[in-house]
Amino acid sequence: MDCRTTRLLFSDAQNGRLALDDLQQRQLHLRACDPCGQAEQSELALTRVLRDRLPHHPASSALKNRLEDRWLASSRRVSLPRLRSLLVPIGVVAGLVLAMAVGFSMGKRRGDPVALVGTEAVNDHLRMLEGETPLQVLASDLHQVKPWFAGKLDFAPSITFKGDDDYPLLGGEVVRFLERRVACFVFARRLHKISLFVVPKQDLAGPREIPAGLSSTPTPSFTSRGFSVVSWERDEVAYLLVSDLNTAELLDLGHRIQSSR
Amino acid sequence: MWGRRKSTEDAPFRREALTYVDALHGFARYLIGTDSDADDLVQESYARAFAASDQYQPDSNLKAWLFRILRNVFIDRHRRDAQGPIAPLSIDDVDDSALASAAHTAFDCDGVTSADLEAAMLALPETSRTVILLDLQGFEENEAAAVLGCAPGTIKSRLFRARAALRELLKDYAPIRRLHGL
Repeated sequence: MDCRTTRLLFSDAQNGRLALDDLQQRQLHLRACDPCGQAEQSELALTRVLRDRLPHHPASSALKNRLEDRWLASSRRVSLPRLRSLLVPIGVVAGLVLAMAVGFSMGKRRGDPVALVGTEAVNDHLRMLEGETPLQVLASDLHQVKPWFAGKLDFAPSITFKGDDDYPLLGGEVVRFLERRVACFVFARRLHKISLFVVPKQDLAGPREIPAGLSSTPTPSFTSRGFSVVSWERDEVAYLLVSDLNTAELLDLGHRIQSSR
Repeated sequence: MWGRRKSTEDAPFRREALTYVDALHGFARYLIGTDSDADDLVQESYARAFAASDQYQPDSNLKAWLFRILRNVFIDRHRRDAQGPIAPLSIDDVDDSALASAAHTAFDCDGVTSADLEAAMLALPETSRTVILLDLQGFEENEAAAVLGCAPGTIKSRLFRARAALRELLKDYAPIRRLHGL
């Protein structure tokens, strides 16, 4: 294999598109040719910098909402039984408005533990949205996603909700949350992505004195930059849902996850 | 490469097509330079795609089909606004030997920031920018060729030259900043 072909095949080699024979010939050439070896290092460095540092400019929520309204409006018409089922979380939201108003204003205070957890959740959700790589595990089947976490965490993320037509499961990731590796499941609602962080409750306590009083039912706990956080706890595990979705639908998903056994 | 679509069930098709909105917006942003113009480009692209949904073949790559439509919308707008041809400097006209020698120079990416990278990308000719972005999106050669409207066999060399040109541009950024202690 000559120098020009070796270099032209860089992208194919990186993306696993070369036949084994071509790959071996290319490797042989790279070992023997210093200029091509140096060019290869430059290509790898450029790929790294493009993947790590090129801004992605995802669509804004406003654009997504406009597109949904224009193109998915008919499929978003809510049937009467569905409307009834939505009234429960909407009622919960209405009832919690006062508490939220107080909670959020307190939560935004610098150093407030609720704000600390909420901000971390929103930031991690944004990192997931802006990530240049696909989710670490891309699957709509919970039975594929949950085992994937085995060996990557020192606890087993216990969720049983498999996703459904309204909130399909997209996949999962291991993320750093308050300096600890935790599980993140990603669901979708129309064009919105929703992160579910599953965190051992003990990791939210201790020196940071973080929310001692997590509710046992999904409850809105924080908003920032158009993103909402709904949180609850069960069996010493904290669950935090984050999205730019409206709070009623985020609560609806929270109830589905919590009630799934 | 895209033939007539067999199914006309639009709601699932639209739903699936709209899942690519973030990728399309990112592509549009690098074609046109501002968020508001990118929004317009994405909206017009979806309108055009859904109007022509019967031309999409279900077993082909929907994302690549949408990217092609978006680029065509961009080119149409560019022509309509009388801004001249898209690529005054065709990537095939670039001196191959010069770019090949550039590849010999070690690329120091330590000082390259996101802002540098974006500025350098926007300074590239549109076809170079596009072939790099399509490669980052993981498109196959034939899919990238369909988006660019060129022969699949030219994609490798286009990509090679575009990346070499990008490296050359980036070499101009980091040293300047280091010189100023930034």
